[in-house]
Amino acid sequence: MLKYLIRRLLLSLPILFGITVITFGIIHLTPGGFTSIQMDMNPNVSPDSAARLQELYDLDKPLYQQYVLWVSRLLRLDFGRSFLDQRLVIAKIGERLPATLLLSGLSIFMIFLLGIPLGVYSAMHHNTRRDRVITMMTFAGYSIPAFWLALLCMLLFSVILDWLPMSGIRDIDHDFLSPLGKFWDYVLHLILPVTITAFGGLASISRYTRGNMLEVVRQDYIRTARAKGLAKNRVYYVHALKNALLPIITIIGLAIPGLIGGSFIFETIFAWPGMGRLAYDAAFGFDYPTIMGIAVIGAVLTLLGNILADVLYALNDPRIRL
Amino acid sequence: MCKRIAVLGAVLVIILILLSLAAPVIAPYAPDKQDLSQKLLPPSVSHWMGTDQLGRDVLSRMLYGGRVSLSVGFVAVGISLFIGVLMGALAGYFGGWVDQLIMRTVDIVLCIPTLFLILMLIVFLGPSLFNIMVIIGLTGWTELSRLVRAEFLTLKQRDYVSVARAVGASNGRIIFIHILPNALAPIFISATFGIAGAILLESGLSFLGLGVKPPMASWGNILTSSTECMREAWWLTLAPGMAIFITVLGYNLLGDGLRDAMDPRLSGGDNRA
Repeated sequence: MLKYLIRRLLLSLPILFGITVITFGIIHLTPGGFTSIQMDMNPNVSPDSAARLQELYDLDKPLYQQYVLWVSRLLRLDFGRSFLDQRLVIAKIGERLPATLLLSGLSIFMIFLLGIPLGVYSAMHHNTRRDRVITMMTFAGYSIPAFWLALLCMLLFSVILDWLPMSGIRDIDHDFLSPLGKFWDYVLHLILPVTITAFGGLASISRYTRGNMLEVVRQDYIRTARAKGLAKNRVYYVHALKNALLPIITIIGLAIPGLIGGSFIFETIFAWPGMGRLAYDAAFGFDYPTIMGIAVIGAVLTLLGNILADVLYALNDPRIRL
Repeated sequence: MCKRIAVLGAVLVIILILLSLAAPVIAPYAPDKQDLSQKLLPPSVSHWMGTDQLGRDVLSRMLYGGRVSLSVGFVAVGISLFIGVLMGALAGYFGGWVDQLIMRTVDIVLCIPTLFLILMLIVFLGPSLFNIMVIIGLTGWTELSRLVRAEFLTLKQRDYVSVARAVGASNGRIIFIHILPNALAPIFISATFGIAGAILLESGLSFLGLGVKPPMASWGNILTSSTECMREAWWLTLAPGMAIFITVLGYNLLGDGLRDAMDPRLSGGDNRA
């Protein structure tokens, strides 16, 4: 196992290198150049301070040296300062990450909590009316434009019924609430965003579980279990599900970029102060240090997530011992 | 049952394509003709889907918006197909260092969250119909290349490939004339789902002002303008949302039906467990 882990980590080094090259490349090859927004837009910049700014970002050096210097700063977790408010990029990311993790964590939890049983149920009643109803629902689920659904829900629950807050993560008077009131305030603000972000994923996970279950129940050991008299429920939910769930580990690994990067579409609609929203604002403000920071941190965490998924897979499936 | 649903998908897709193609002929008004005396009218005989804040006919804008969705879907997926099939074919056929190089590149691209990559590229290149098609296409080929590679890995072991090689066929000829046609079915299915995804993505980006810019009509940006008057003008919210929903549903149903037709194991009636 240890050998497998070490090999996997070593194999990811070139990928890490590639990630930094791509991020650096996209930013530095864009028309206009790295500091042009700060300088060209500002008539008060003297040639002298422009030169100083160039030096600060090593722009007076050849491209490969810039890359090496940038990477060596990355290794010390120095992502530089934001162009927009001069704050440390790492601090800006640090304060946004919890909101995104909370939102995506809860919605992924919802997806698995509801999606897997739905898929198993659908597979158990394969080709019956119940299966067809669930199948139609899942198709509707992943075809519906979620941002439109978000608008409709906001209109119904926030504007017309006035049950739930429309957007944001807390009320204006949040600081004056009791601890319980604060918690309730967060819950109310989470209901709509979590439901909407979970919606599409729910459909695909239940569909995926259904497909895997249908493959697994064809295996001999399931027939054996049924033949020795075990109840159908037990066979499905215990014997078959365990094996059908294996590929889902990989799905979790693949879901991690979304988990960390957040969705700027949903975060923008719900004014959710997360990573996606930060990326959106940074991109529009041409805030290069923040953009590069988010890209690199997001990609590295994704890489770690993939490694974790592979290791979990190998631990759970003895057939994969590399 | 599955067949009926797939046919429903195919019918939806064909109707939508025909409507978009015929838009200049059947649209009752010019899509950008403003008439402020006619603004925010509810659906009626003269304006089937009502009018918007500038008095433009919503039905006509929807028809032209359908052209945008259609072109984004097909062009973006076309670009993804070109890159994905080429990369996957080369990796699967040649193996060795070519395979390593291509698949590690895919791994790298997959590590960068796609939406974030798209956001970055749109901001730097500027939002426009052309850019959005190219960007969605350029970021959507990785899964496809894995699929094509897997197909090529199996297909290149077949006897007819050895025979083709034995009679002296070139690599290019074996890849494109002998193997690729046999791998087309899964590619086609993946492309169908890809179109659905691209249309959904374009409408979301246009909704946020990152895609097709007004005054050009797109279902996404019609929805954006509806947010200013959701309570008064429900038809402005309903029409584009339903259009996106039905279109994406059509492609998804079609894709699923094709997949079932290809893989009879999943649609068979065997349910003894």
